[in-house]
Amino acid sequence: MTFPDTAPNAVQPPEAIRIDSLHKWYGDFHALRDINLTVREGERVVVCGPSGSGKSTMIRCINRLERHEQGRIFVEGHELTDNTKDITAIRREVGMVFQQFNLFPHLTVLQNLTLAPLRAKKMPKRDAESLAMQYLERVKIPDQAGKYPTQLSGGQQQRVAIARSLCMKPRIMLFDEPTSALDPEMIAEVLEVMIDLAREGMTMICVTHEMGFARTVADTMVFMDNGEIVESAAPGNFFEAPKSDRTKLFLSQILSH
Amino acid sequence: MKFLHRRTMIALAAAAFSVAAVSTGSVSHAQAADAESVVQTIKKRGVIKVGMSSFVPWAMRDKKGELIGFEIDVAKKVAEDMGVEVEFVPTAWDGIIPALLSGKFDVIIGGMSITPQRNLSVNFTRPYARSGVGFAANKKLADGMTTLDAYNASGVKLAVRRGITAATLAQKIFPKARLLQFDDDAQAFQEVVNGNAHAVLSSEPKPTFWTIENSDVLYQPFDKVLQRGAEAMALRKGDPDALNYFSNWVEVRTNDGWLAERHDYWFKTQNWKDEVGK
Amino acid sequence: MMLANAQKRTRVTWVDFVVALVLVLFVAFLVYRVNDVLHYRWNWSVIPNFLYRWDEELGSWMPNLLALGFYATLRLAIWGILLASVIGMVMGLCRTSSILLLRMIGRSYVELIRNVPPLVFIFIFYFFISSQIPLFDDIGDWVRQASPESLASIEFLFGPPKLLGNFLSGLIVLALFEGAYITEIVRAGLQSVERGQWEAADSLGLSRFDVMRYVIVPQAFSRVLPPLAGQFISLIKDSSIVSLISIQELTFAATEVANSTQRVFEVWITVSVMYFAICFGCSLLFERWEKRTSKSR
Ligand SMILES: Nc1ncnc2c1ncn2[C@@H]1O[C@H](COP(=O)(O)OP(=O)(O)O)[C@@H](O)[C@H]1O
Ligand SMILES: [Mg+2]
Repeated sequence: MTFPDTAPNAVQPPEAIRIDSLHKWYGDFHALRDINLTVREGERVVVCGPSGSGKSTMIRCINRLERHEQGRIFVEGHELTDNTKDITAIRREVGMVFQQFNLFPHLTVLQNLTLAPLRAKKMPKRDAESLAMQYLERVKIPDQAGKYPTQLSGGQQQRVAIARSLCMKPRIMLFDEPTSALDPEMIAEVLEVMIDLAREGMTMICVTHEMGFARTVADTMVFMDNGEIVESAAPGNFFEAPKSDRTKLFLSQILSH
Repeated sequence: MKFLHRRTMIALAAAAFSVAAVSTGSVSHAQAADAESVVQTIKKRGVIKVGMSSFVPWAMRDKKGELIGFEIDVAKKVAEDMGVEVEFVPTAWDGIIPALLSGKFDVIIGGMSITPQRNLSVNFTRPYARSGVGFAANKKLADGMTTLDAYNASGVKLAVRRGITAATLAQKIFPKARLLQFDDDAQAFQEVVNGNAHAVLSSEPKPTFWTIENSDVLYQPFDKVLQRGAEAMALRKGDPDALNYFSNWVEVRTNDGWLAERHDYWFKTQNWKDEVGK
Repeated sequence: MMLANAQKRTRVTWVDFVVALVLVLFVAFLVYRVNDVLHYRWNWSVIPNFLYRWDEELGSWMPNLLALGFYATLRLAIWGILLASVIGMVMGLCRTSSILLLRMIGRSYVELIRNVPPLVFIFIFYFFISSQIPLFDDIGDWVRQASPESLASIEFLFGPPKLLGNFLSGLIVLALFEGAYITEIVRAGLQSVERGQWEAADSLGLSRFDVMRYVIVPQAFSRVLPPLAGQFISLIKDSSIVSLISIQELTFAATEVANSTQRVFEVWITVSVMYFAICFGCSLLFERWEKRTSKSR
């Protein structure tokens, strides 16, 4: 439980996430190479890069869905170690939204939302349900509470997934390509929810290729390729004057259509 | 399907069992632990546990589902003479010796014929009955086959109950015939009645009884039994007191005519037939 | 399954007629063979008495051998299913555990049972292992001294108290044996739940137990219901192998009645109907259960 040993900066908000010289291998495959990234409280980071560049792997290391081999990761000042209790505690502070929604198909929407508050936080049932309804209203689908996930559209499912994470009142939210599995007409409704969240000051890391969204909410843009962070900059500089050729190439491909 | 390789499996199991038993040096904890005679155990418990297997008219079920038969009388009399209650443990024939060895009951009173091979694993008392293996043939299939040799030919099918003396005997006298083995006697006889086998070998009086009952289909080609047998109670090895007790019980009950009287009732008459309700 | 099809296809086509006709002809042929060719004299009159008999002294109907055997099989089936499910669940969790030792225990158990013929396993367990465990004998002695009320409840739950030790070892053999197959079904069910479900549950900060209890197991369960039903039916049929170790279940009772009365066909036909009743009842129960769980999805 050591704090990072850099000098505290009085002007900037405290660090929410700090990644120091992170390396990860899958067998012989070097998936992450020397990743350094600091995210401050309230900061919105958008990560992009070609497929297979290690974006998912990096954000999955932050709540230890993947274990890293080298380097250090701090979340709200707490270092990620093999200690299961600490991991569980950290996961309650860090929400995650997946590309494939991963809702629990055997539970109703309401039960999906109340499961973690009931079991992990031992919240009384009535409180958990009113909390859940509150978040369902925020993602604009309170009338779907009694349905099962398969009865909802993709966009609705992803909004339920976001609400499910929010019910644990996380301080940080991780999004791994939340709109990639959606039909185009449903992308907007999910992004809208995410923009609302950003406006309220949530610390966020989003892996996404929705560049319009990125321009609207990002404080920092991160471009990854081949397991490395190639470039990291404010959106203005990132889009108008990318430094690296790889970034330029990627942006030209993604913005061309 | 499951019983297809039943014999092989049982042989295997028996082998595994003896290996296991020998390797720990104790066949039965009852006998190894304190070397107490089973006679004392029975007295202490107030109950004699008798292993048996149903076999007409040795042991069978009456209309009430209760056990009756020659052997049941014998076991009850033994219990009475010992001043204890009797508890019957009906056991499938295939498992009866392993069950005795592992202490599931105290003694087998189950129409078991003395054979040298069985005697290697259990001790036998003096015989309390002398049976013979009889023979009944199908009138149509075995028409005119009145010599032993006539049945010792390929193409002849003989039905027997699995694992009993008759099966071994059939293999010895009729090596050329095909042996059909069944899990119970009734099936073996039925097979001959149905005309699927030429003849059946079984301990008397079954062949006689079946022939009387199915006189239109069955006949007995020989007037003598094929082999005499001696049935005795079986006990675990290493218990001289029990062997002495049960052997002498048979001696006494032979001498006073009790055994003969009971034997005749069950084997020579069919007065008990109504009780079974055939 | 059969019923579901029947409900779907309410229209009777000519194929149905042909199939029905063939079936009727086949049954008629069997009856003809048994009557005329096999010289079998049917006599069903003894069977009812061996199910239930009128007791003169008590002035009431008492279950006789076949009914007692039926109840014994039913008891074996119910307890066997419960115990085998517990074993299968625990071992299935071991099989999928992240701890190597547990995985090895689960694996050894399954391989040991699956690769030894059931009869050999029964013989070894019953005649050797259970006679080395004094527990089974102590049960017998303890039962002899029990009060009438506890005897009555033992009789209801486990059958004749005198044979309690036997019943328990037969039950354990059966459950251990079937448990191995259930273990594999449970393992397959657990592994069929997508990784994303684990990850979503983990990322919510649920404990390991809660992830299993509320997310993985319920989903695995509804998937394994059909194979589980099949395995339970196997268990009911396999319960006849314990007749070899003095457990007076249906097959054993039938052998005794067939031997004593020499009514071979009548007895075995009756017994088949009884087995069919138990197994089919079990199928129906599971079918309803399946429908209930599939509705909630
Ligand atoms: N569990 C795994 N085992 C082996 N290789 C993996 C595994 N997960 C990801 N990889 C590899 O690591 C690289 C980065 O994957 P990922 O982080 O999913 O990329 P992105 O999200 O940027 O598309 C890819 O080459 C992928 O094949
Ligand atoms: Mg990815």
